[in-house]
Amino acid sequence: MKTMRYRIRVLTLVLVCALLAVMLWTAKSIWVKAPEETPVPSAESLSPSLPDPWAEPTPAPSASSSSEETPSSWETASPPAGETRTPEALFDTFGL
Amino acid sequence: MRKNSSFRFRVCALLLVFFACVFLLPASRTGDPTLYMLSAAVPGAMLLLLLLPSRIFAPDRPSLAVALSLCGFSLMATVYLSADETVSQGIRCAAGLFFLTLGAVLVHSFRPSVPAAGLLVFFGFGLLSLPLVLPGFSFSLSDGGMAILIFAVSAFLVLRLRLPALLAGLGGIVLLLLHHEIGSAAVLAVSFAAIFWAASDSALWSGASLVSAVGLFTVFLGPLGYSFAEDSGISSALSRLSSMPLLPPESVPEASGVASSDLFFMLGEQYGVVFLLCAGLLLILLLIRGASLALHTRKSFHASLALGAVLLFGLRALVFLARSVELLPISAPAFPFMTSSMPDLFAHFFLLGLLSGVSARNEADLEEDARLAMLAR
Repeated sequence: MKTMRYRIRVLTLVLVCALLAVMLWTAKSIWVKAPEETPVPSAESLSPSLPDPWAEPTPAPSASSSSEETPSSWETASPPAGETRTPEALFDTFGL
Repeated sequence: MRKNSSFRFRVCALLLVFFACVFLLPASRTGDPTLYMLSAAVPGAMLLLLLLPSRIFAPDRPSLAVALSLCGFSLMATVYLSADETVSQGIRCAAGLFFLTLGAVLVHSFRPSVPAAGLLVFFGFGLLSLPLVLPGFSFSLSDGGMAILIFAVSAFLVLRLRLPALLAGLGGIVLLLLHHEIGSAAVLAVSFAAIFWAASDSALWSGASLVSAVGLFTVFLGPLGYSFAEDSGISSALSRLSSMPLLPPESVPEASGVASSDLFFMLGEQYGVVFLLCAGLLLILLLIRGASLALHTRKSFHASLALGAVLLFGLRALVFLARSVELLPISAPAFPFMTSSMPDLFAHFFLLGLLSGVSARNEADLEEDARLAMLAR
């Protein structure tokens, strides 16, 4: 009977620990939503927010704004009239 | 002693007030008169069930209180579905009290003997094979069959008849595997091997029980080709889990309109994950109480019975939760006391009755000791 009591204790402890572990796992899977549940934005919903690379350059809001926030010239500047921007011209721009 | 009874009184009062409020809140939201009636009837019935049976057969009050709380949660889960469904679930829970009494009386009056244990095996096999013999039979009696088989295995082990005990357990596992109840078969196999390990003195027989149970699963899942794709409810369980709110929502939750036997998930969807965790913790309390009863009993038969009931409750909940988070790709039995399936609910009350019967035996032994001590003076 003494051995049996010891084994009952062991079995109960293992069972309770396993149950707690699975409950924690369940709580974790509820907390972290399944990846397929998160909505994936469509291309149509994304496109208006993307900047148009060939749009007219907008003037900087103020002189104090940092240079990192203003778009660089190769991103925003449209090619001069009658001239197409070739890969070779881009290489020349960056001194390559 | 007085301090202890005062604590019990406070816990019971808190429980009753909680369940009264839980039904009053949806009643005030929806204005349904049935819910107003339930807010008075459910705590009243719980109070009666906690007080009345103690005058008849001395049940184990802590485990009964935990079981009634889980039943109360199952009623809460159906409140927003329909008030009539809540009333039906309440009637099912109340009817389960008969099986609680049956289990307690069986433990009290049962003396382990070969014919009695053989009769129990026959009855358990009958319940498990009913869906195979009658294909149109829609009820699943596997939980009741498992409880009776665990009873019979305990009786055989006390009589040191290990081969019949082994055959009874393996027969039950085969019958469950044959009608594709893989989760229930796994629960029975682990419970059976654990009882063999705890109650049998022989390491050889314990090893034999474990190896044969594993062998049966290997044969069934390998050459016989069980298809895991049949369990379509697995992915839906995870998606239901991930859509549950953490706390009870402020607005009235929308009823799905479909009566589901999975009241555990319905509770989470309508009241938040906090209530699911409460249900899990209540079950752990029940397991600890059952183990304590098994440790304090004097006969190894009663210890095996209490251990069997604890294992069946705990493993059932473990398989249910593991299947919900896709750890086990198998069909799972219902969470204890949180099902609308009447045979399952009755089987859970029968197991609770076994615990109550063991508790009553412990009380009787203590009274006998006190009487002998008084006579010795």
